Amino acid sequence: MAAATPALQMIDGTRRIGGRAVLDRLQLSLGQGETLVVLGRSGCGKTVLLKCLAGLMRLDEGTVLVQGQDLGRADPASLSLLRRKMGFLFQGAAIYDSLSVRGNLAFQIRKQLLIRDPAEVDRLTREVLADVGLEDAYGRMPSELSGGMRKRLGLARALVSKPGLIFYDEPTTGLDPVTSQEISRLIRETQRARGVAALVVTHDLHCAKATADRIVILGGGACLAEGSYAQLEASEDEAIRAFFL
Amino acid sequence: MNDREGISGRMERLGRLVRFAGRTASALFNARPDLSEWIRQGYLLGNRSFGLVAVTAFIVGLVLTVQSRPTLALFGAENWLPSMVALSIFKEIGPVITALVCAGRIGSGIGAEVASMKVSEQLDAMEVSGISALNCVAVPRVAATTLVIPVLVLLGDAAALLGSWVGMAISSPMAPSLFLTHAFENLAYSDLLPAVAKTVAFGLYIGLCAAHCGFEAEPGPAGVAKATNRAVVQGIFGVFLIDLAAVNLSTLVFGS
Repeated sequence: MAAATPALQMIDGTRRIGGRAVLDRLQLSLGQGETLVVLGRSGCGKTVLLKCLAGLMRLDEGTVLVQGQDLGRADPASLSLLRRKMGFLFQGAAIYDSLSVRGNLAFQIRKQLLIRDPAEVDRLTREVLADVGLEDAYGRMPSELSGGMRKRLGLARALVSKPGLIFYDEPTTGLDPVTSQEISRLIRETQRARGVAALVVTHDLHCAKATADRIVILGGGACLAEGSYAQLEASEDEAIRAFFL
Repeated sequence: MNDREGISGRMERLGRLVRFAGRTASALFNARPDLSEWIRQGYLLGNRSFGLVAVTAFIVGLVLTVQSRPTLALFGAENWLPSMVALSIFKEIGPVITALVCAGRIGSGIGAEVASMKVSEQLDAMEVSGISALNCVAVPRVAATTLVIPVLVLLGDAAALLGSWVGMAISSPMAPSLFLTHAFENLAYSDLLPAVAKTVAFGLYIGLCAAHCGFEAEPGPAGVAKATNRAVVQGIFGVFLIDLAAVNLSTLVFGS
């Protein structure tokens, strides 16, 4: 039986910024329904990696395959369709500040799913808000939300199109420990309930431990190590152990 | 790119603006226009700028009349004042003053709003979910400025004429109907058409330039400030260049 197509693959990914290779012939693969955590120090290229994988930044060399389709060679129409299968939770949540919570999700539903019936838009809005435990914030403006609620709203927006793949950029950064745990739990629950593949970029070990099926440690633009949390924590390599101190 | 970019840097920026204009046009024609968003943006921009345009134009009309009067009086040509002021207002002063006010008021607003969307990754959030940020953010704003600025120019022209009449009435009362008759007696379609055409070009340019500055904003609050500043400076500079080109073109076509 043929192996399932990975949800996401990077083959020999190279991206240079200012002459420096931020990503250097990087190989990465994410299975269907798997949660992969990318750990790395600040400035090691985690966000660049995420942007290249999501098609927000082009690779100088190499290939990104999303559900087997080459992101770099997709024409604008196919790229748009491909992107509708992805969700992205940004570090700052990237909420549309001029729209209410309802407006943020309604905009996404109308533009992404092309649904125009107001009753259906409202039903989907309430459904996705309930999925992230944000029903009470329906009519509020983003400025009235806490950091954790903004992340939940960002996740709700990412879930609107029922994606098969979700990217999380530093999902717990700037949150208190309790809220961080809640967000990590939500990531895990979303993965279990919907079976989505997830790629989490973080430097928060608690988040990594709570969410990861597999961890990749990034350094110098390449993969320094790969394995489960327990395997990497038990590593005898000082450079790897330094991440778990 | 730093603030002290040379000629090549400016040309590169101009090239990117032209490419951005092409992409915006393509986004406009390749997707169903969101007319409700066009109207909302048009209302916001028009409503936000109308007061400033009206007051500025009124003052310009009044000052132009008060300052021109003594000179015309020297030659016994005071009766020509309404006609001269109207020609100046409709052909040049009205469109340019309104466009300059809009480049400041509307250009800074769009530049800052789009730049902060860019910096807070809201534009990336659209793109990554297959929603065209150009279509949702740039197109409605550019369409709104293109449609609203000509209307603001007409309202500004009316306010300037009102100012001019007040300027006349200060020293020698004149019936408004007589003032208007004198004002319009020497105006021809060939005076008005190029003026209206250039206001459309002003609106298109101000919207495009401001949205482009926002889309190109660099990270952080300093990036938003720089983009806002660029939107205003490039908007004002562009208005003068378009005006220069329009005057030469209309002279070529209409001969005056």
